[in-house]
Amino acid sequence: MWAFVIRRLIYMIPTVFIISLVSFIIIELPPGDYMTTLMASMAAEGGEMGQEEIEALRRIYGLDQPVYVRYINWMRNIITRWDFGYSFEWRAPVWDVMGSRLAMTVVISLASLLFSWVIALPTGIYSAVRQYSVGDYIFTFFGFLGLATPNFLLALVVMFLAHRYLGLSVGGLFSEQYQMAPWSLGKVVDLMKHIWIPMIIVGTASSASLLRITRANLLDELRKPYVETARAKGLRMWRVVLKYPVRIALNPFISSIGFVLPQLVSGSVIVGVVLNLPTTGPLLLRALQSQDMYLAGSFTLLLATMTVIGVLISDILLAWIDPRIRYD
Amino acid sequence: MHHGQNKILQIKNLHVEFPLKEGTVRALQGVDLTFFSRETLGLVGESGCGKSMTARAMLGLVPEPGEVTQGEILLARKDQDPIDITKLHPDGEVIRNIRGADIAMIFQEPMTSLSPVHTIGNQIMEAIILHQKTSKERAAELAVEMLQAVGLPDASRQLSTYPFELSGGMRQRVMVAMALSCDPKLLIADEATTALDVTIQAQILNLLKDIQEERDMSIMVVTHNLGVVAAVTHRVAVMYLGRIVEEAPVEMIFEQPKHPYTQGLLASVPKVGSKVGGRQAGRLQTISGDVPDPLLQVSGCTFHLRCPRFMRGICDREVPPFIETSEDQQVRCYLYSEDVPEAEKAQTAGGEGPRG
Ligand SMILES: Nc1ncnc2c1ncn2[C@@H]1O[C@H](COP(=O)(O)OP(=O)(O)O)[C@@H](O)[C@H]1O
Ligand code: SF4
Ligand SMILES: [Mg+2]
Repeated sequence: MWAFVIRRLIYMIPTVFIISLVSFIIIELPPGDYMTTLMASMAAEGGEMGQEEIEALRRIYGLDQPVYVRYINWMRNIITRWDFGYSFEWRAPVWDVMGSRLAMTVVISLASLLFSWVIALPTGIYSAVRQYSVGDYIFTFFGFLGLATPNFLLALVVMFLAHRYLGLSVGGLFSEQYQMAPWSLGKVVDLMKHIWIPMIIVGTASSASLLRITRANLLDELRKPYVETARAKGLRMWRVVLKYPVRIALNPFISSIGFVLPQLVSGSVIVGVVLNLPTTGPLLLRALQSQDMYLAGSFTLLLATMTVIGVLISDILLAWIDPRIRYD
Repeated sequence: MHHGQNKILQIKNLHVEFPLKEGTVRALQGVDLTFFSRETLGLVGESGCGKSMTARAMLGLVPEPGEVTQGEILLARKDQDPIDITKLHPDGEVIRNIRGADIAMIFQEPMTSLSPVHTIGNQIMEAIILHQKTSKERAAELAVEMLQAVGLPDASRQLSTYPFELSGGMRQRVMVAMALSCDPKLLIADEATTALDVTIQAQILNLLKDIQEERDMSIMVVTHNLGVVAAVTHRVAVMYLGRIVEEAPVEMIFEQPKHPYTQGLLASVPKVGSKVGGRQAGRLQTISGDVPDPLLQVSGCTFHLRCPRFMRGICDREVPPFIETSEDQQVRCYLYSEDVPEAEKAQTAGGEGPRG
């Protein structure tokens, strides 16, 4: 088992290196640099910048150095000082701009992951064990509905319902008085009050697909001879189902850990915009639009790295519950 | 007959049906079998004739939507009246206490019949803890003893191995150990050696034979391989389309088979007991025609569509009753009925049967 973990950790190093290169290429990709953008906007406002001033700024930002030096500097600053560079648009260090949003993204991801497990596991097991029962048909119906509804539409519907019938203030993750407040118990409670809407919206589609996958996998497993062997020993049906087939049907749940982050970032940018969430999706979109390249590149780097870590965690868990994986 | 042996379980007129959209599948149409202690019964017949269904019914494990529609399975109990397994709730406490403890089963596929994600030890100890209410430590000791008894090398270390780390033969030994762990009165081996190659097959069969002699146990060996039957059984029941058509001591089955189906079965084996028969033995090349569609309701003797000695107007009317041709041999065939005129029997003898 430990050999497996260490091997997987070593595999991670080249992956993360390639991710950092790709992220840096994103930073370098647009023609010109931020100075060109800056001069253009100054010119548009009627101002002028002296050549010396421009050169000075270039030196400060390190833009006069060759590409590979800039890459090394960027990586060195990240590793040694957790400094991801400067956001030109926000006029602040990149980490200050995105740190809290990244944390919120992770929180919402985990919440919706949890939500989809809590919904999908019991309903999937029930649907498989009581195939073609009324309950199975109901879950199947809602499963397909959940898969077919676009997230942003679901977001609008849930927001409308919550506002209209529950009188809740919707949108965002915090009430106004906590928006800027430092962390406190009240703020956590406030977060809990707000998080369930994005949690449901983001988690619905994955609940639905996990439910379908669980049902299909479990139906396959229930037909396997080892189930009959276990029953022939005298075990109670439910104990057999929970001990054997469910254990194997659990694999997709664990795999879902690895995919929840990219899903949330790529799939729910629109949801983030609609719900006005302080997550990374909307910010990344803006950074790309305004060529705020260090911000965009750092986002890519961190999200991709976190995804790699997510996949690593899910692989280790898979190996832990399924001996066939760790032995190969 | 069966002097000094105890009747352990008796199946009487067992019917199992599957009501499907396409029609009703009559998997078992009146099975009668009796099991005695210290005796190995062979249940033989072509694939699909209902051997496994009979075994499942004995454990109360008829799969949905199948159901027992008639008959009973009476399990003898100490100082009590026999209990009818067909009347028990399939997940109730009574039947769960019988499974594994009174009647245990070894299945065909040693790979897929064990959970791939649990250790051997876990899977054996589970049954021990459940039925003998022992501590985990004691269960582990018993499991090691069982594994040693079935000839698994390095038994104590094997507790922590997974099924995929073992060979097919070793896995089947594990299955045998698991089935024996709670000292059942009746052991069912459903095609337990079919998936194994010939040498391993012989080892497992010898193992079953040894166990038979050591313990006061009844064994049912389910197979379509007559070589296996010759090697380990005392008595043989031949099954065709959901019914037992002939039952006799093993020597009589091989030396003087009475039922035309049994005769066909034997004719299809090159030489009884020879290794050449191998896994192909029991393929019925010499019996003409195919097993009828399971949805088809065949009147009278279900074998009449393929029987070379079919008697029109007799065999296709009523199901033939069991006829005792000698003290130990019973056969369901009108050829042995005193009510059927000898002229009828002679006419068709050796002649061509109808094509179904
Ligand atoms: N799940 C099922 N649904 C419908 N029919 C079944 C099912 N399982 C078994 N049967 C029927 O029961 C008959 C006996 O099957 P089985 O006992 O497995 O045969 P054997 O073990 O002798 O090869 C088969 O012909 C099949 O048509
Ligand atoms: S009863 Fe008739 S059809 Fe059936 S086996 Fe005997 S002779 Fe053949
Ligand atoms: Mg079978």
